[in-house]
Amino acid sequence: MISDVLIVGGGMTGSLLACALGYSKLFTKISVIDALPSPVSTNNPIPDPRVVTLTPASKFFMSSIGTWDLIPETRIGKFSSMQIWDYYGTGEIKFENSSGWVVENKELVQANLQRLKDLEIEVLSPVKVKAITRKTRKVFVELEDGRKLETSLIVGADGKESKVRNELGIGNWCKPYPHNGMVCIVKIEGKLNQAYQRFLQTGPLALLPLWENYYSVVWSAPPDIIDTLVKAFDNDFITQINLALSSPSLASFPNQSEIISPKVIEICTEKFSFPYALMYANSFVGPRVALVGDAAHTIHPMAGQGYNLGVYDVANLANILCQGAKIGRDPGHLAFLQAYGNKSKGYNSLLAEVEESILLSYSDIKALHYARNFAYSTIGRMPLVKDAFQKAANGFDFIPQKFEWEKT
Amino acid sequence: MLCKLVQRFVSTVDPAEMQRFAVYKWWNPDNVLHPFSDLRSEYIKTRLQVQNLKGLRILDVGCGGGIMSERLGRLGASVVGIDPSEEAINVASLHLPKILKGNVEYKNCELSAVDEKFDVVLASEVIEHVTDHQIFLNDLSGKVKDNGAVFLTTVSKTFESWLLGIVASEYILKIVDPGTHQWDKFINPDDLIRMCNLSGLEVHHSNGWFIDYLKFRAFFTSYSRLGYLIHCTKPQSA
Repeated sequence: MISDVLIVGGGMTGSLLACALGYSKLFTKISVIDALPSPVSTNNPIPDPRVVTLTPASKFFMSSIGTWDLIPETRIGKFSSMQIWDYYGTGEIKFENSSGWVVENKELVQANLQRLKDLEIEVLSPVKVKAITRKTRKVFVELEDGRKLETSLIVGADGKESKVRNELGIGNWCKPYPHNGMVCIVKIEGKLNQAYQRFLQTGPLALLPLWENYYSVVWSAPPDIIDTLVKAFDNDFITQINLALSSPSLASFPNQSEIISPKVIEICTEKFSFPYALMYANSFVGPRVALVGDAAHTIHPMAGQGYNLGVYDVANLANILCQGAKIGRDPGHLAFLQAYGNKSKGYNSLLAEVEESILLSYSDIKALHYARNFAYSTIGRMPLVKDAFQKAANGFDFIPQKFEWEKT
Repeated sequence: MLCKLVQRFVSTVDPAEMQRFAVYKWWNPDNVLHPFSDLRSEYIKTRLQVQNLKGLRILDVGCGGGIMSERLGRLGASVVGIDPSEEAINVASLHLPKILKGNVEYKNCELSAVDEKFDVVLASEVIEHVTDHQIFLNDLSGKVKDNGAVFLTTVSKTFESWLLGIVASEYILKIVDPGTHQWDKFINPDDLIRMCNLSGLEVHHSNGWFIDYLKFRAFFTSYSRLGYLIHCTKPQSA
């Protein structure tokens, strides 16, 4: 089988790229391979703890290729403001216009697969890649079930342990964070639709609204604390999280009227934990290969940017490939892939830098706290600076203003 | 002397030029012909007022490593690429992906050896390498069907093209291999248009182009004292 673009990995990122390329109708054949079987719709009323936060730019891109509308509206959590405050009570910041959408990973994949079916793009699954051979003109891929595929461009969208990256000898740089993460779904008292993020002494704790009064919890802390939390009984965990959200008492906060501490009343799912790392592939592109999403980079999930960076990758790569297809470019030629690689490296390193400095500012060095609190209060009071921050957080700086498939 | 004269009438191929291009790195990602090809494909599409080139038979004269031939083939045209250099044709044939085998074929021959008429004839960055411009254009005009189109791209013979096209790109920035171009073979748009008319082609449009080396992107400009593109058609013979 010969294809223009072969995408390895049919997860949230890979299937999204296939949707964009398929929707453009500019390619003869797009193929997707996935190691896991396609998920089945469960329609469980309780949300799955594996969720992502989407920025307005990500939503914009998904709407443009028609996958957004396939996510059931009742399963999307929306927030229009985010409250960020720390343990000591100073330096809180409230972003009134930072809207975001919280969606379960499985719903995103489902919507993408539905879209691929409409676009008549086949997903080969479950099957693993056995070997990848790169020649000047073509990439040959051998699957474990013996099938042989041929493609002009191979895209690695197969996660942080990317097979494509390893097979083609692209090295990577990795630095573990001192944190592990823990996720679960909780119910909180009352119905509030803002997102919360509190920087505790041990690391950030985030609560993201889903629907009704379900909230998704993302708690980052040193591995031993996370282990204790995961093993804790439900009641103990609820006590712990409420303490973490409300102590010391709000009375000690200077701007207490602006801060609301949500109160967790019930834990609804199992608790999952996982390690974090800052990872970069040495190069995001090579002759006849491009890496997107976690295969190219992973960051700390504290700002909820990880998946969005993958979406920006997909938006940029798809746009460059479509632009090329209109003028007959070879999709795998490095001269054009480099444009994607350079752009993606740009916003990825920017956000990694920002996150590194935020993490540093919340480390246990007292002097940094004063500097940070001063900086944050100042940011909060300077509309122009705050706008610039929000614009970067929205993501519109990182994706094309108009996509190739929208141009007539 | 006589030998040389005869050769001139038979062939416009310059053996020294052929030698130079035998070792040219066509498909190197840094090759400026790649971003320029974006522009050439776009120019051809815009001038022909089409979204793709399906159903058109195109002759790519001096196809080299096949950079443009593959582009045109991918856009749906049926392309014949010819080049007098055997090495270039080898590079082109080896690079041609299987998916395009039905659309693109390469021939190691000179223009005079082609005995077919085409819908579109393209001679891109070729005319500045031939021995005689007029003979070459006459030959070219013979290979295009009535009402068919001819696209030419080349470099103006100006002080700017000497400074930027030769001194800067070949010797200072080293974007192009030294010796790739000879200034005295460059040709100005006015002269080229006059010669096209002499060989029975009607010139419709010409446009300058320039390349931004930092962004690695080519763009159109009204300034045609450097590189330029020309679109002509062959009027129906009376």
